Amino acid sequence: MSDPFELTLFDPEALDDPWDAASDPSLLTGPSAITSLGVRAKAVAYTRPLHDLEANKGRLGGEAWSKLNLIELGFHAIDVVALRMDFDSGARHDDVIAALATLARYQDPDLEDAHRVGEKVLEGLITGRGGSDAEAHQAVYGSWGPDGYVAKRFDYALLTEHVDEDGEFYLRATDPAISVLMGALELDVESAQIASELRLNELVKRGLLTAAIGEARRAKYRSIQYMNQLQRQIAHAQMHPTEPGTLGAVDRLVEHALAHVVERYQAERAIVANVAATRDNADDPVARRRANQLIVELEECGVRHQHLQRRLVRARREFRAAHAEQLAAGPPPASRVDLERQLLRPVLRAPLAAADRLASLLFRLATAPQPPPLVDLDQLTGALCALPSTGDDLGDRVGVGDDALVDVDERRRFDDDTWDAVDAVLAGVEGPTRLSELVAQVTAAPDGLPDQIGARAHLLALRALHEFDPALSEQLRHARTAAALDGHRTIGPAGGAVGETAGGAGDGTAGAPGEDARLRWWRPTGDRLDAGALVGDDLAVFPAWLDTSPDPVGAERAAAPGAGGPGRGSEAGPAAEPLDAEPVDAEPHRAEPVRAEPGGGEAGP
Amino acid sequence: MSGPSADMVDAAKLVRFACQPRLLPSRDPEYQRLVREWPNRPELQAATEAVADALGMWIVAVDPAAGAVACAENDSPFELRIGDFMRQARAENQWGQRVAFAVTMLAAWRLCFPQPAHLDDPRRVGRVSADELIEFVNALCERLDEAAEAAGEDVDPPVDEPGLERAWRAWQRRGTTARTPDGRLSSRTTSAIVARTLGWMVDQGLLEKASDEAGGTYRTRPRLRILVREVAASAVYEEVLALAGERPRGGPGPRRAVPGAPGTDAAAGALDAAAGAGPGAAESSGASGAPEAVPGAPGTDAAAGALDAETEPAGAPEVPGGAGP
Repeated sequence: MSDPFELTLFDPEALDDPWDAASDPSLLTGPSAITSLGVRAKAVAYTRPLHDLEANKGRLGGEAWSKLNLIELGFHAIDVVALRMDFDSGARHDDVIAALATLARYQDPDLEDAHRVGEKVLEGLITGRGGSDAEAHQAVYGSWGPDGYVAKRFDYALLTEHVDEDGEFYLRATDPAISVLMGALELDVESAQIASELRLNELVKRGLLTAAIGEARRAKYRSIQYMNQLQRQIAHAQMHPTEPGTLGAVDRLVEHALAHVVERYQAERAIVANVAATRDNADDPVARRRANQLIVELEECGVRHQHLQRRLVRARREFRAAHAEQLAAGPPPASRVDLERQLLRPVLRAPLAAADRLASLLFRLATAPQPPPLVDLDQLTGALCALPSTGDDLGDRVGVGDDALVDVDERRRFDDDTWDAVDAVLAGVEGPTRLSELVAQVTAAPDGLPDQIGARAHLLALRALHEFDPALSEQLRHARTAAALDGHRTIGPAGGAVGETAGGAGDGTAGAPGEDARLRWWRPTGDRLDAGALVGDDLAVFPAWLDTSPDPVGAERAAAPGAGGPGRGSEAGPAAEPLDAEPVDAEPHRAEPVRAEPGGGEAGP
Repeated sequence: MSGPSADMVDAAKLVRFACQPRLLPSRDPEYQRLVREWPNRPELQAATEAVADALGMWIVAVDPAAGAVACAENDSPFELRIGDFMRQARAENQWGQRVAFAVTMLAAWRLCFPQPAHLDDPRRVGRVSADELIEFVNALCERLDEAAEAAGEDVDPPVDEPGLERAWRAWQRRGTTARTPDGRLSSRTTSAIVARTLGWMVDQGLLEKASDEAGGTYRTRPRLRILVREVAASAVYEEVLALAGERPRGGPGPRRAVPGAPGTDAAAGALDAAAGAGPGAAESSGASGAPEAVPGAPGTDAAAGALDAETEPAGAPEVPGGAGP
């Protein structure tokens, strides 16, 4: 077979006419007859979608569609699409449907769903609709093979869908579709165009205007077909600018096409002039109307040819630019495979089943190794049934003996025993006591080792310093004065801050309003403390209660100095205690607590 | 017994990087070090081959820019099958979709590297758009159609043997686009398959999306050039020869280049004259059928010669050395 990729000019001599083969008398029997039947079957197949539409109209639209002629509508659809085709555009779906709906209403004025008729007809022409969408129409025909009769499948399309740069769909009619319109399978478009003009001219001369209009219409379709063919050839040439012989072939192709188009244009002008003269001389109004109609058809052809001529000139310019650019790259190295000629084209020509192997190979080569997927059913079941792991927020589970578990350094300065011993001593403060006395208590504990004893004294001193708060002294003094004035002045809830300040020092806590906060009040004594490791000013500590709510009843006792007041539990009612205040002028280390803590009542172990 | 050698550790690292097709060596210092050292460490090369071989992988190439390019061997646990990628194309008789994938990939190669020399140019960044690709393949199919018709060649498949349908016919039959009833694009069309395939090439680090223009425009990444350079002339070419019914000498499989295939000096030398005449022939050739420069034609292989003769127009001179079978 010849190279399908070589640019060929339209040469009527070189093209086989299938009808020639079919009409050879010597072929009317045996295998050849089968072949000729196949050719005819193919020719008829192009119109089958139209017949199918008509045959199925009952199923598509029921009784309401009985008056419609779907074959006509099908022709009209192809017609509308073909006439709107340009070099690189086509008809919009909605326009075609609207045109079909108009014709459908002419066919049946009572029709209600004319738009749906248009949709169904268009759908029937675009695709096979039998199986999956997006596939062509199919037909079966017979041929004669080595084993006798073979039924073969044959695919074709009438209307094809495309998307333009804006993403809008449009339709184009294929060559077979236009052949259906013309009612013939004429392969050589150029010769047919010339013949058509001769016929047209003759018809005009003889005044057969009705026939001339039909001929003009066919001429128009041929110019559309011609454009289709040219477009394909030029597109191919532009894709392969450096293919040997392409440049010359494109030049010749374009020149030839230009000459043809100009000739057609001139012939059409001549015919139009003739028709105009005929019209002007005619007296019959019908003849005049037909002449006008013919002129309209011919002028449409003329516009089409003008447009084609401009497009051809542009195509040649574009092709030359592409060619020059490619040549600048220099000759290719001989050691590389030609991706198109040696790979792509043979694959396209190969049978599907064979090309399939290549598809698998290509996919494997171009895919990086993938981690194996989970394919074992047992594993999959286990994975799907596994309980969701919890504790994600906490990080990974730590295993026993895991290296992640390490001993951390002990950062505490004092051990629990030391804290317990100091807590016990501080809790035991029931009356005014000196720090030096407390130090003596902790160091005198019989159970302590020398280290522990030193640590206890150290911790005790630190806690005393921690609890020592001059601001507290100030507030207490103020409260004492106020209580002396009105008898029930207390530090209110806001005084909780006071409680907090000192409360952190021991077991005393600043509670909610209405609860007592126990605290210790330290103040300097002016004496010297020297207890071995501890050297400095001695402090006095007074146990105290802070009441956070006013209590007029208890206020009377508030200012009552004196040690060992009645136990709180004996107080009537749950009323909070007023703040006890220590007499300002009392000698500090002798000062009685304003309110003695009941013995051991609050000093927990 | 001593621990694993440095070569072995580096080899395993390279195999690991080879499983990450989108990772570029320039993004990982360790990767970069390995690909730089690769040419000068034959022990590392041998170790890597061994590790990959044992895992069922094939190291296609190690390139300083593209990194380690590898693929899974047939039936390897690391292999992803085309049926896993195109689920609806899994059925045995869904040849059309799988072949459309292959055609898309080869057409993308061709459009990204229009000239064979482009495969040797590390600076070249090819471009391809989905629309351009579809138009290109459609045009090829139309010419095949016209030629088959002009030659009276019978290419229609028997009704009961759909596997004999020609690939270009299957492509055409599929249709470029189809509008679904709600105005969207149908997924069975060639444009849907092309979009899918190009997207997958992005996933494999072969392409990079440049824009949404023209149905999606893509740029080549270094990996694509290396892959095409390494496999087009050997593994793929060999399979294509098999398509034409001709098994070349030497066993099948991706690991060995075809004897006498492009790349051997003999073939290159034999074709120098023809290739050198390229531009001139293009300018002057006319209807007489000037000698076609056959870039990269594997001149020494009989089978290749046979295929080549079929590819060339009738009357084209035989490739030197291409004795008919």
